[in-house]
Amino acid sequence: MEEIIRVENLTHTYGEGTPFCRSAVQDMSLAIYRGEFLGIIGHTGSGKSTLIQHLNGLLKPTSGRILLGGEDIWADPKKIRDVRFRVGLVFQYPEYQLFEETVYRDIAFGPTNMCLSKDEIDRRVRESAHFAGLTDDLLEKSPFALSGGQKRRVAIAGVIAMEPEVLVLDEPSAGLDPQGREELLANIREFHRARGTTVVLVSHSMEEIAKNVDRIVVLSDSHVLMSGAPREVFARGDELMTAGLDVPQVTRIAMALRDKGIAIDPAVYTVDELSEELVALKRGGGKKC
Amino acid sequence: MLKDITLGQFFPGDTLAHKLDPRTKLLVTVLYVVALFTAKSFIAYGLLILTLIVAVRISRVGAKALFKGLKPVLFIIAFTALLNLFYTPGTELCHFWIFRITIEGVRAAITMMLRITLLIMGTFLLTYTTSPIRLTDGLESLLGPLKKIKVPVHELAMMMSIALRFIPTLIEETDKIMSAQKARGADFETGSLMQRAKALVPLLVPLFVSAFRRADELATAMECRCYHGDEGRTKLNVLHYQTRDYLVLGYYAVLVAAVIALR
Amino acid sequence: MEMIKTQDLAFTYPGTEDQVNTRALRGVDVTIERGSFVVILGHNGSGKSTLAKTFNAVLLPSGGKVYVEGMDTMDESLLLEIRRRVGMVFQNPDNQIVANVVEEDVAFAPENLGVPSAEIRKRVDDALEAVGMTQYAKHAPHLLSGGQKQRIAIAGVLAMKPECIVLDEATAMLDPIGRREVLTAVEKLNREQGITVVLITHHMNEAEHADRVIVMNDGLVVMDGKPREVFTRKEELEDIGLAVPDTVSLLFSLREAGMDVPVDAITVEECADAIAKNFT
Repeated sequence: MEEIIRVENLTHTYGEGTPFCRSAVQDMSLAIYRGEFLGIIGHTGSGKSTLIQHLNGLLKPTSGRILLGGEDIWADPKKIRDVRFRVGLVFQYPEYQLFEETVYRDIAFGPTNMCLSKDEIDRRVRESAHFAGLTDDLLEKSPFALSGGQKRRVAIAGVIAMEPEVLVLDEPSAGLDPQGREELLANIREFHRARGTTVVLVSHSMEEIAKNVDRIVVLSDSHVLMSGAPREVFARGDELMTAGLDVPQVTRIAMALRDKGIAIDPAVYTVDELSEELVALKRGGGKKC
Repeated sequence: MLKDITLGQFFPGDTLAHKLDPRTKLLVTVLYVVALFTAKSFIAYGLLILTLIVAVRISRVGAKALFKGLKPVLFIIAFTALLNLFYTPGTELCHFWIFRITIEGVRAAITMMLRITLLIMGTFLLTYTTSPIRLTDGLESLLGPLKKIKVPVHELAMMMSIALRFIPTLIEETDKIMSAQKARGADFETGSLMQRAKALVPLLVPLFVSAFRRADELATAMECRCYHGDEGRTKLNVLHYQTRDYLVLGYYAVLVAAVIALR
Repeated sequence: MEMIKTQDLAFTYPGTEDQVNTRALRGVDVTIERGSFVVILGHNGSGKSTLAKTFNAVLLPSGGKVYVEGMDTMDESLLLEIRRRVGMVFQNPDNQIVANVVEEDVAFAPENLGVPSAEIRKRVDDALEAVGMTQYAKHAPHLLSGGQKQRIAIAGVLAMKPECIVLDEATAMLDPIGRREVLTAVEKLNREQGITVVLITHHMNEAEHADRVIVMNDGLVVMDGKPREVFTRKEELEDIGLAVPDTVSLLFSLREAGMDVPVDAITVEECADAIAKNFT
């Protein structure tokens, strides 16, 4: 698979030279592949926010490099704005960044900064609004008159409208109810499928990561703890729990069953999988391992 | 980054200077300033310098930190000193080109420099050794009598302490919104003055919206915790003058008296 | 004994120019028993938060009544007493901390109530102890984690010596660790000090240990019962935008496949036990 972003030995230290000096990311290396749906998981303070702000050049590495399409993004600091258009970053609670008079103009903020033509901006605004699940009648409304969930969609559309090669979302579903959460993620999945854009989903909900991504990177204490397909990662449930992370409820059930001596694959992480495994096991005579 | 700005000038510590009642420190600072501006003789200045040195030693605030506080006003000090040096009439000491230096001028320049330096160091010592919240408490208590003439002392003090509480939160928020807009290609650093002012709109609008929302929620939260103004309110930490406060206040009273007597 | 009782409670948010009035509550009758741990579930906009805000007169009914230990919340002379008895913790941890120092913040409510200084000191120490935040007494609140801030907010309410604590989506903005910290703290208060807890949330898992679950939809109470009774009504819950815990989903799926399992084993342990019985 082709690498789109490569993080090489990244270290970031806040407040260097003061007594409050602290490394949020330490000697971290990882790759993001073109077109994949990657999940980054880690508890608060694991360095995930710091990491993602390096991907689009909002933060500058204390040491190490970020390669985008094989080139160091800081090779020419003057071009850092272009990097930000190529790697779109949606912050946590992005609804608090809306400022324009209409939804349309707010979504157009990014494309306008890219100096695109009026027609192109119009196309992008409408398309990204559609991907974010916003109906056309909302475009002329004031973003401040919308519901919390809708505001968030406007903010996400604002980043999608830049048509980035990589879309990074920090906790996009935080604070939404189960239905809102599911709908929003379905929109993101659909965007990923239709556009083939690389998507990086940052979350602390294992369930959410488990249901959506192709590959997971687990961060803990400023390091990459593990990475791999969800099955591989959840198979190491004990290690995840030691690192203070949750594992999906289904994995916890599977682990508890295995402790009781039932020969279940600990790597299952969705309800359907576990249910199928159990039913198959039962038909097979319910052997103990 | 905005986060790196150190706010307030408080150096925590456990010295006598820190432990004194904030009202004592406020009063003493006022007395010191009064003494400073009534001082005429060199002995008086000697006493004042000595007092400051002792106070600084007690507080264990490094001399470096105090001098650092002087930096921004260094220019003003130098400028006033020069003005005094060249424009005070009196017995001529020497002259070159259009400048005359007089004995009186030298004296005036030195006293001016001393006054400003001591004034700034004295007040800095107050803020270095007193946390903003204790300072607010002290002010509220000292100005308490003004409530009788309908000055909203409690409300002002409450506003000040809430402002202090929310400064770090709002700075963090500014930082976050700035990053979010930069991620959409906003440019806060280049362009003409006009362009830069315009670039602030995407920052200021969300910041104001959020500040109003916070204010609204905080007001509700305060009401839920039975806040209803000053009426019948008590305090966790009540300020009490102790022997040390009376001693320090006494010393400064004597200092002012001595300085006046030495005129 | 009833702690809170609502009678045909209605609440309407006044509309703005281009919006009509929103009827957030449309005739709610609930009774919260003293000492109970009640979870109110519902999707955003179901009226659950509005209901919570009527419990201590932050919002006053536009129809019907709310009684707190028999006191009518409409009676303005009882306002302080009602708010002292029913403390409220809100969603955003940053917007409910008033003071610069943790212990001063916890002291805020008793100061307002005119409690003598020595007694405030005792209450502050006890409250911080109860939420496990004693070592942070002198810290600046903005440097704490979300979970810690919410525990400070709980301590701030505890210092009023309330009979009841209402948590209005107080866990919504927290990460899993913070959420667990807050839940552990309130479960302990309920168990050890007998304080009535009303927890408003849309996280099903937080209802596992509740005595009772009330489900709201469209301004009405649609379900009310023990967690295991409510959670087994999978389809109805999904219809109103709520998801049952994965444990229940799994048991339903196994049962459909013909396995003999109960559907009301809601915790991971219970669920694993129930399944294991099929293999012995």
